[in-house]
Amino acid sequence: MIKKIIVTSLLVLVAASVGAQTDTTNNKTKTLEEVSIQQRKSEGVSRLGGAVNGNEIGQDELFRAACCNLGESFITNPAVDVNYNDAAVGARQIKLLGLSGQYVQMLLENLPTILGAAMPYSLGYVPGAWMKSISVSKGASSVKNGPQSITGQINVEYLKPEDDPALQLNLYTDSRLKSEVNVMGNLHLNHHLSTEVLAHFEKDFMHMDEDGDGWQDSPAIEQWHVQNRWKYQKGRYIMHAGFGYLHEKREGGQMDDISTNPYVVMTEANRLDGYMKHAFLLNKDHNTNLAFLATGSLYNLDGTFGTKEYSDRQHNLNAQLVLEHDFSDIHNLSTGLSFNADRIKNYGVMTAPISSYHTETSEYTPGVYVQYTFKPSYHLTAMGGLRVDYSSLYDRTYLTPRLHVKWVPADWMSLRASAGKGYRTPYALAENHYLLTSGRNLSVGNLKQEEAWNSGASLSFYFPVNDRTLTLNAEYYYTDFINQAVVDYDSDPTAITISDLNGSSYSHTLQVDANYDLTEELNLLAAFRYNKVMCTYSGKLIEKPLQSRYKGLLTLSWKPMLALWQVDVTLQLNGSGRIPDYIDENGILVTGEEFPAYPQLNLQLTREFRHFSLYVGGENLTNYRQKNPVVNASNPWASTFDPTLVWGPVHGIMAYAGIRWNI
Amino acid sequence: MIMTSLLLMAGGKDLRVLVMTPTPQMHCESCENKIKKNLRFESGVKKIETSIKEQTVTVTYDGTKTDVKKLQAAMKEIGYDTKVVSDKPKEKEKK
Repeated sequence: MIKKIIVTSLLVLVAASVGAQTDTTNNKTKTLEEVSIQQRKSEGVSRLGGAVNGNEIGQDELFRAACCNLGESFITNPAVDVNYNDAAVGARQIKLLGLSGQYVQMLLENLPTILGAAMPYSLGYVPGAWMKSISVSKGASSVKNGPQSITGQINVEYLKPEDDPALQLNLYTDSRLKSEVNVMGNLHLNHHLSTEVLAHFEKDFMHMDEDGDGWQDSPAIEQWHVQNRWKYQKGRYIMHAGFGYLHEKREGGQMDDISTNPYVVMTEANRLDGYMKHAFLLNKDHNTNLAFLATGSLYNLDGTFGTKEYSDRQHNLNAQLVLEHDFSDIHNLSTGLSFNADRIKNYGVMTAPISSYHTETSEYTPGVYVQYTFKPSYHLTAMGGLRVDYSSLYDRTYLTPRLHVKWVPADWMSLRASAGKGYRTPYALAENHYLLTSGRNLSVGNLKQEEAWNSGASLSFYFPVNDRTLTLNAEYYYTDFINQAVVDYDSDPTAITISDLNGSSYSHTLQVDANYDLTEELNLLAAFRYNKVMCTYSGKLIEKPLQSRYKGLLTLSWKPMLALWQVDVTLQLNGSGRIPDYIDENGILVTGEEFPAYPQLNLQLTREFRHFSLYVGGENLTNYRQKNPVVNASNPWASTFDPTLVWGPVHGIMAYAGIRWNI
Repeated sequence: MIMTSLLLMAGGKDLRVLVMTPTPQMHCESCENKIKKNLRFESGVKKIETSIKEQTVTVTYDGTKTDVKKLQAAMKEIGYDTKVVSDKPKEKEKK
């Protein structure tokens, strides 16, 4: 059964009525009129209901920026960073609570998706035009979806087959001559059955080298992606099912005219995926439902990185059987069985001395969970869960406890707290294969399962100010690793080592933000986030490299004339951070280097028409670029060559335009 | 009536407030958004307010550019029959 997805907007209407007062000293009677405070309903971002701390980003928010894919959907989100991992392959990752995206569980419609070798490209595999909403939850999430979420969970909801029938077209192009076409159409075949087709094509028509270092700033991508999704509902039975196919080619490296023997980076990936969900409503009065969910994927990746070759063959299957029941309005129980199977084969040719390698990893993970939710009133929600899983790879049974509490002592404040453990299996080479572009020696050890505790709290206030609600939010999260696959640049500046943690590794994250409608048409969001992320490298506990220490965000959204026009401005200030030691093109060891704080400014103008909307915008309007993102760019065959020390934007100013058309 | 005519002759706006009840009823924010997002394209519409609690759609419009029938037709196009509760000139806001 489809798990009941509860999405509510937290609107707080505070109404104060003041009765008549009599001022006897001057014999005057003053009557104060009823005062009502309203908040403009945000159709963009809303707080997740329940005990888990998070936000749902709706289409209105996604449309504030170009949002070509999932990776570009967090521009206006203060909690999530999106960065390039390298300047050759174009791998991107998100960071939540200061930690890498692999510690965030990625779900597609509440089903696990995209892992292993697909992870460095996963953000580009989810077209922005297909998304209906994104839920971002922080901290260890519900035990229902598995033990993997350590820092949080991102769940993407696509447009639905059961939505109002429509045919939508989205065309996009930008000043770097990247173009995209998205076609989304759905049909209600009868009262019970509906279907949709989602199609995406993108291509970079030019190879760009804005900084003139002889290297493409990012790889030229060509991608095809098609999905067909179905929904059937009759009586107490609901079914969702679908399948999809993706093909992507990336070509990067040195510009063609630089050398007779250019360093070329090429990857070609194919992905076939399918899913099904069957749900049976057994008892309407108690919301008793039984659901079976399954998803599977086949992923092939072949890559060339200079003289190195890398191939990945990945099979994945995940199945769950879930039973949910409301004993009353106060007590809810959810329990389930799960089975996950992953098989990843890597093979290829590594660096000189030339050697071939072939590894194969299979892991079968059966599991069981139980989750109890206690909600005696609107003021208190407590959700506790425990799951037990067994890993065939590590021959280990492990427990995942998680607790979430939400307390609303008054209408104008709420407090959330959470604590829990998370585990994940690191596929170190698959998830970090972009490191093969570096001239450093890459070595990957036999890794143990990653394991961490996460805890945190958030406090929200809703104050009436001038007839509108000012929302203030403060939150703190702490993540402490018991074991972690550590990517170590620091112990040896001529090598990159991926090995088990030997010492401490932790992250503190503190965020404050304020949201207010200055007028009915004008919204302001201001946020500041501080990260302290530390890890032990060769016995020394030091700051994790290539991580900004803080982030400031200011967004302004103006929607005049019944929102027929919309102007969105986003200003980010990304803090300074540490660069790991490296050897420069002159053979000199560079140590103790830091990257500076840098701004990013984006602007978009949208005009809505009855059947279509036009948007134009610019990204990185301050034209800030990381200087020399590729170390020793003129000598890519040297051991000092390294395109993976990326901390900032690799592109300069970019203009774009597009049309969204409902036919 | 005379004032309205004078206003029209002077090229002024004839702001009116129409209150309607829709059928089927609005049952969630999604229904409200659908009404607001579609009705705003009607010529002369200045403001749209919806209330799930009251089951009303209140439209402030320029009577020189549109009228009740056109607004009801616009609602019909998106799947809502409507019943007019009131249609009055917009009162000037007290300062």
